[in-house]
Amino acid sequence: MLDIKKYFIEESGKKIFRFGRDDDAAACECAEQCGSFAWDDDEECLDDCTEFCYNCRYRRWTESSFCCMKTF
Amino acid sequence: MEILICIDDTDNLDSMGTGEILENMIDSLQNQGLAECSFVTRHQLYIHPEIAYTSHNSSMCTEGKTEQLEAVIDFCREYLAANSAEGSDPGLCIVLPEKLANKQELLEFSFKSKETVRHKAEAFALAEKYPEAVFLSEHGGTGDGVIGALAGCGLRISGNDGRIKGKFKPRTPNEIHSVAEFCRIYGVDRVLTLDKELLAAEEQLVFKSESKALFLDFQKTVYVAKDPEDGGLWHPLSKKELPDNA
Repeated sequence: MLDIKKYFIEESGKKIFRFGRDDDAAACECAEQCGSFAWDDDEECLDDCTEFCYNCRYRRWTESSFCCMKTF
Repeated sequence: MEILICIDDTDNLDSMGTGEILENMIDSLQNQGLAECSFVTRHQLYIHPEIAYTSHNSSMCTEGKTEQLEAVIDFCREYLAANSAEGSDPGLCIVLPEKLANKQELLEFSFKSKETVRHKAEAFALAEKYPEAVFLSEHGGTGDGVIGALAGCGLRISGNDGRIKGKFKPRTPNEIHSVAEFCRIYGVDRVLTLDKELLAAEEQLVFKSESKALFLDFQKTVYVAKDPEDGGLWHPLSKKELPDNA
């Protein structure tokens, strides 16, 4: 089983990415292990070449990080 | 007459984005000869746990011209009802800026929507004060999208908010242009430094990778910065390099 839970903390039943909005390396690692990465709408991606959580359609931004909407 | 059309909360995690829905709606409006519309702007609204935005809490707005207002309103309402994603909370706002007696009130609501939690009742109360100028409607779910739809119209009217939908890429890698050439080739109105200084037409820049225009002072604006490795030339900022508040 892939261990992507280590990238998240639980807050009020939501899975919040523990590394915030600016840790590209952690977001890349997490997306690679997750296997559910899917490109978001072009307008909402930070760029069009990096497969990381920050470009994933299953993330919802919060004030300081993002919440992952996938079940794992 | 001039109109603004803005939609919000039309998508879910797996559907097409709100911007694409608006562009498709614009195509249909134009194909049917109901209106002519210009570019789409994306307006970021407040991100807060109390706001149940469907995915990003941004609204999408365009402006255009029509002589068939009632037909446009009917068409947009039907289009949104038929094309919004399941589980979304869509809202539509159409504004006639020339008939809006108090633009300031709308602007205040709109900019507050970027920094504070607003409510649907507040949006409808504002719209009802200007029945000749503001046409606000909800189309399913909670209908909370009306907040962003109204705010998006105000932000577009302000001329100082949002990113222009789409991006532009260099035709060849690392091409060098004067600012004047760059603006002409890529349809940009002006180039600014991050200190908001206007770059002169004869300044040189290197266009390295895709960039994004902002809607500032009613103009399609591109920000540039200098990178030591570019030999002192300016380069247009990528989306990722843009300031957070841009």
